[in-house]
Amino acid sequence: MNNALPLLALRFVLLVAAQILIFNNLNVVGYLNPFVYVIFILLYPLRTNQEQFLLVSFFLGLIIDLFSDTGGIHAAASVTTAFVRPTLLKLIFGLAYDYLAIKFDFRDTRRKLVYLGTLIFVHHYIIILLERFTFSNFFMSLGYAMMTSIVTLISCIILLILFKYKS
Amino acid sequence: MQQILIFLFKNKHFFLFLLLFIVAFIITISNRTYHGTQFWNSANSISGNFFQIQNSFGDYLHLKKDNEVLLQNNAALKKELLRSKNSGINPAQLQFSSITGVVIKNSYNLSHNYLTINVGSNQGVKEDLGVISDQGVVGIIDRVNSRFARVQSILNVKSKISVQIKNTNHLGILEWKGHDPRLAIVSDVPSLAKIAVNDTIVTSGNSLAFPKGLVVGIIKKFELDESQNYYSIQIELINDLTSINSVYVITNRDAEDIKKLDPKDE
Repeated sequence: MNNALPLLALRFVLLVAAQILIFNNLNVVGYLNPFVYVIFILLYPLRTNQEQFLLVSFFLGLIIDLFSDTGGIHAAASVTTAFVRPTLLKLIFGLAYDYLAIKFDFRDTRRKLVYLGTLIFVHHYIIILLERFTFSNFFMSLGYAMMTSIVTLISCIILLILFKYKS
Repeated sequence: MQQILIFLFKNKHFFLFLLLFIVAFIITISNRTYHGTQFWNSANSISGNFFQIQNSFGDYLHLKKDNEVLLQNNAALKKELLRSKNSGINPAQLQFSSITGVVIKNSYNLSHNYLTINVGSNQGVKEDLGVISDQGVVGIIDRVNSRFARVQSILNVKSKISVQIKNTNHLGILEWKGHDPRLAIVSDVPSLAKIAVNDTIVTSGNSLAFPKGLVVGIIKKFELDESQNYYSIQIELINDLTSINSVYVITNRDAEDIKKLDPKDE
């Protein structure tokens, strides 16, 4: 755990910087910005103190908010993602998920894609609901969340392959 | 009592989550309301300085284009100056003057879009002042600190700006419904107004923020709303808000005096 801390801190800073400096200005097909910082939450160590995890996610979101003028939207979405992560891990990887290190190699790729995709979608859908602040044109928000999620998922996979993430 | 404590302790993750979510929600709301928090936005000194540095790198990349724009601007202003000299207007007596600023952060793909500019109260920027670029209307200042200010872009679903059809006195309200940074809606134009596609929409001068007659956009299509009394007009914005660099904050000499006459009008 002590070895993991500097690595986590470094990842935190780099992801925040990448999000603010690069991905917030990307505008894929005109208006889609991937929120890649969310992989920090997805790849957070599995055997961890849940309260600490919630707090870290909250502050991650809050810092992103500060730099994108979105109030507390990213903080709310991040903390929700962190909250549902254990349940989702159990659902996708079974009860023994503790012993599984989520590495992005090509073993069991399908489950990992489902895991990444679902959590990214949850995160993005909350962002979009809070951002529009309305349940009207429900399907439009859903479609928008889908498209942004796909862009984020692709960016995340590219980042994971580039940095050959090891848990 | 013990039961409650046990219940709380059992679900402590959930309650911590709930607490953090509510805090985030409150920050979101107060960031959007008029008299909300003054700190958690991109015009505070931490993120302001950050974007200032980021912008100082990016600046070099479009120096050439900026130069061209400035030259064109200069030429147009020279022409204007000659005309006003001929008509004998003293510039010190003009109602509107401007403060030049540079956009250090811009967004246009959300539904609540804001820009951050590198001038603040030290330079005389105040809340509610209008902001224009060389092409047209940009937005209205909504948060200020000593060195930076945040502009509520016209590409923000909260923005409402008084406009009129050029060469008539029919007023309307400029709004934005999200999605496309090039298109906006003008509503509340009475059905008596004679309008046609390609008519120009200009600011009305009814609000204190903008002088009369700044070009906003061009009518693309229009239809009567359900009540058949008002037009709903779709316009194409002249100003390309996805690429702006230098802006002018407009100060209105008479704003205070006019506000005093109508204290309820907020």
